[in-house]
Amino acid sequence: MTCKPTGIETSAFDGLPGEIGRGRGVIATERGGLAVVRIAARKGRRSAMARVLRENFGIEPPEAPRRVSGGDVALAGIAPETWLAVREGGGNGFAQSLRPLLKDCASIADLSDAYAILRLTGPDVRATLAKLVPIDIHTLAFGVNALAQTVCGYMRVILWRLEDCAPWGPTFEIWIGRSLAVGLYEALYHGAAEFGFMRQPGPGPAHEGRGMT
Amino acid sequence: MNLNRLEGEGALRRDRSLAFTFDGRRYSGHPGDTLASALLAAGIRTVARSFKYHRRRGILTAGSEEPNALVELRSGARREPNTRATVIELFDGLEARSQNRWPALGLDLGAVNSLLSPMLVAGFYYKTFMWPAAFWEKVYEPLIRRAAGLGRASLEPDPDRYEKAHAFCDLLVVGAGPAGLAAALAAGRAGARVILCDEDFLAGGRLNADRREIDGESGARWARQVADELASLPETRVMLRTTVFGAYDGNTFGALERVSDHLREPEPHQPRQRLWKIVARRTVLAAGALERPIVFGGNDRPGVMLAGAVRTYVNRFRVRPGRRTAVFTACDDGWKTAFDLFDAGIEVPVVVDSRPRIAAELAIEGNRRGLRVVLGAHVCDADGAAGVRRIEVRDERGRSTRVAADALAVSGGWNPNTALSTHLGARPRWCEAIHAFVPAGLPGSMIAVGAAAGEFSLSGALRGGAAAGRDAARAAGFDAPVETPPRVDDEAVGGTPLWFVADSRGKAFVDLQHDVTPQDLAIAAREGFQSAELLKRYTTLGMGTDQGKTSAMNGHALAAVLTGRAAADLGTIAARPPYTPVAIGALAGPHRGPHFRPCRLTPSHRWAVSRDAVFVDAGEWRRARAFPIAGEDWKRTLVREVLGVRNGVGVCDVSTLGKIDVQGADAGEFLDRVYANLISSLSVGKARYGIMLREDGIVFDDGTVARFAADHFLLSTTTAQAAKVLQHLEHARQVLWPELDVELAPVTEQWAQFAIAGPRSRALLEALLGGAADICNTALPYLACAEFSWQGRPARLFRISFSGELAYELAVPARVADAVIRAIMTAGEPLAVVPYGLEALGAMRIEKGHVAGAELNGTTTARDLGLARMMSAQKDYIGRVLAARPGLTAPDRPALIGVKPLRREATLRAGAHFLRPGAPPSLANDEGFVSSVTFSPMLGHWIGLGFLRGGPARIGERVEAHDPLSGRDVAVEVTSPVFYDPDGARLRS
Repeated sequence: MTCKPTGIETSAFDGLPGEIGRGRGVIATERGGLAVVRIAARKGRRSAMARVLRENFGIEPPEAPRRVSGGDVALAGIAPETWLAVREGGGNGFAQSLRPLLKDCASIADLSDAYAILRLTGPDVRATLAKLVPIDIHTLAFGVNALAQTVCGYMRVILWRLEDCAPWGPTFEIWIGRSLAVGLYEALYHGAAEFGFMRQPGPGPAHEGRGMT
Repeated sequence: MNLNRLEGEGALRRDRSLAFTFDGRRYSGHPGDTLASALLAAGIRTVARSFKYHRRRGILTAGSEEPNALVELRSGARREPNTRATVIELFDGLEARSQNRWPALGLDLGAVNSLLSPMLVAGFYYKTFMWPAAFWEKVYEPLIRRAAGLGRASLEPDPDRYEKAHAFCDLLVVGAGPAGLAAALAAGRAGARVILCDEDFLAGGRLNADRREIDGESGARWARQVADELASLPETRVMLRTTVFGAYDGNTFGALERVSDHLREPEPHQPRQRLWKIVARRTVLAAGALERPIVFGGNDRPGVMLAGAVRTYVNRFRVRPGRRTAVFTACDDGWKTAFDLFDAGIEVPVVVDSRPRIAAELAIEGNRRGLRVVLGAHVCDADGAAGVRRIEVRDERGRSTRVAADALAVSGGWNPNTALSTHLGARPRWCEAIHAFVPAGLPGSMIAVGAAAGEFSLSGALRGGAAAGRDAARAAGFDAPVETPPRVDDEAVGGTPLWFVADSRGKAFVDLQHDVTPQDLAIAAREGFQSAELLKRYTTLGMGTDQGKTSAMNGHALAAVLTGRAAADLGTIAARPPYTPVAIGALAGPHRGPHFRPCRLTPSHRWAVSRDAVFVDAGEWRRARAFPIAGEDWKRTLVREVLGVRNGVGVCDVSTLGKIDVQGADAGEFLDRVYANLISSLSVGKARYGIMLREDGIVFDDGTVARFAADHFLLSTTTAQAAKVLQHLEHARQVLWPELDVELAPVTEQWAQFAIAGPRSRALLEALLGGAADICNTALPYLACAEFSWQGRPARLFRISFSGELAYELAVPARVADAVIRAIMTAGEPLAVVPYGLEALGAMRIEKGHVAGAELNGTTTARDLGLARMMSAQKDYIGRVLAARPGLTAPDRPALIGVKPLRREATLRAGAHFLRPGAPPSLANDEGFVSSVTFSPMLGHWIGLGFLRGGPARIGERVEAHDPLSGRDVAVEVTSPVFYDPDGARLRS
């Protein structure tokens, strides 16, 4: 499933320059069409919640700040007993569809519009991220599906790593509160300029057709 | 032109020339030169004037410890004072100027200070500028300020960019000399993540400066090969031109990478400098040693140079410091300089060694070259107006000989570079074997090796480095085999310290940068400033850009002698970060100008920009302040926007208010405990105003609570306190009452929220929403809320009002906010909808007496705000107990009132204090203050809210609003805080 823009949604990155520097050290793809739902287990109802998720999506909520995916849904642990469920497309309807499933075992909040999300890949993506976030993103410290809530400059971000995408190399997604999208983008744009930076619309070259999140 | 350039390559590229200017004159050098080596090659001896006495100063060192050769680099906006010529990598087009001289370097009128030197001793300022006290501001301070400081900063904005970056490693190696290279190689080959930093632009440290052999080839070549191998290892990063300037808690280090300082200007998309925060599991300090001078008469004259630096200039830069270079040493290492000079074909008129006996091998080598050697002797004077011309050598029996020499290489021995070792609080330990302080008390993750640890032999440095590298790799889980250490030539490293020459002739200096003399230290000792730290503050010994790297040890040894103590007992100062100066720009990084702090944009920002809104930064947010029409002043805009709302309909983006989603079986109970008023009684589909108190009883925040289901609430917070309220609620949930089933979700970013206010707001919404929601007064009365689906998306509508009008807040998913605000404007067009900004929002809330940030200022109680009735007596809640403290319930506390000027045309100012008419302005007479003011479009004059002692009981009284800042007092009448529609009829219409 891919995002189908309806025409009335606006990107938080609209109007920002899309390219700088020579080369393609870093390629950013906006993840505009994701459905994002915050799921917090109700007191004592974690296992019931996990059962619903397992039965419906075939994935187990991770215990640690990690990301697991199955089908077109991914679950990311972001706080004790709290996850973000992410689905390619689906918009605000995903939260509405989860509500009856998780009734009484989890509190859910639709956050599909709350984040501006960029998928970052390219040979210089780590060198660029080193300028943005104060955490170790070496593959030994931050493997595939690792997740961190950290800061970029003075802005709170969520960073996670996806499967590497040949030929682009390591692939990350960086999430920021939508109101701060321009600030993150400026930091990224200038940080990646020396390596060459390009932003492209759509779900991203390496993941095209794979429908994963 | 380059009189002093020797044959041979050294570490230069002789096939290319670089042009540069010094004090406006043109010179040339080669890639690989520093400014200092190029100046020496051109025969320039005087490069600066000293700080206090304006004495001629030359180049003392070949490294970052240089106290003398400070120059102004570049021009215009890039002009940078106090750069050390010894570390400035030469580039084509470099411009440098000498500083601290007037009118010229050769003729400096400030040198007259030298004649006053008997007066300008330690403590001169403290003793002289004491009285009369009235002179301080007008006479003394301007005088001192003019004389103080070195160099001129550029007053233009810095045109360059600075970056920050983060790195992590198993092993950080500080210094790429032989010990550092060996450490990095051992760990890097094992597969560990290694970062090797060196402030130089060439790896190798002293291997580039000395003629040494490692495994049968030159030390310089060995260093290059190792550096190349390190660069090829996938997990090893070699960072040259990078100074690790500070060690901090948590194995964290600060490092400054000079990305572009060796270029005329940065390449496109490159910063000038990059500030690194490096987190290292282990650290190897391999920062080498700093040579110490000997204090003797005329030791500051241009031409006097440290012996190790002389070798650096001769071997690495192929420059001779003089035609006839004498050597004065107290250690074996100085002899190497004599031999290198001789072997390079430079005349060595005499080698003076203060030791009566020396190692046989040195004597043999000296003899072989036919050097004139005087043992057990010292240099008591170096003379020459424009630089050394002759030296006076005094032998054991006190006989003096004058020797012609235009340069003098001096070595008093070497001090391990302990700098980073002290940053975490450790103090260096005196080591009698090498007569120097060595790092001590290091944390387990840090080790010093090589010369930095007092191991002065090359073989020892390579061995120690490799062992430390191996240990670090093993600690990180890598298998690091022991490798055979490389073969090196042997060397003598003995020495007997000679700190100063007691029977010096002429002026001697301990600290060259600050012109501190042995006499200054003697005065300080006499006056009781006997600890190393006090000595520094009193005499300025070890202050300035070099922080005493070449002076502190001699000064402390001298002070020890003067006070009859051993050097070990006097101790030394603990160096703090930064090791060398760091530009403020690098510390600021990208966070300057508009990027000083992040700025949050509202969901309708782009639309507001398209409407030519004027913006104001309010806390984290940039909000539309007003939507002026061409030709309007602010007041006209305000009046038009307010009247547009009150007589018709207006729209305002209020998405910045914090929104917290509260769910769970115990959500109602939880909210009862955090709000002062009762929340659990709220019906589904209704909203209520609520106030939260802090634990100490003061009002924390206010907002609305809406209920969408039995177990689902949504609260709004003020814009300013959104993050704090969430933190407070999370604390309550996780720590105070973990037994409650409550889940919180911050949803501020999810929902764009528009206030649609005014008598025609319902008409606008009907046009906008069509049949998506029933919004008639019965279905959606005042303080009702509804969730519905609108064009396939969730939407929420709240009948709440900050303006006091019939009003709604419409919440939609943020991604469609831009489309929605445009749809609102279209639907409202026939109704003459006006967009309004913060200014109109503020005016309307003041007209209605609604409190906001200026009133919820962290000192006011619910009672002060006229909200006492909201404090529920039926339940317990955070802040209840302490809100009942006598101080907070005192009846005479200032309480919320309104004010209007008696003269209707008068302007009110927030911050003015209330006084009874005729009462002189004093703290005792202070009766409260004005918190918020606005021009009221409805009333046609200024109005204000404030807190007045006695509060509403004094309505109708006249008081003075005294504003000492503007110097204006305004007579005001105390009124109800609600100026407009006191019954609230408009809300419910």
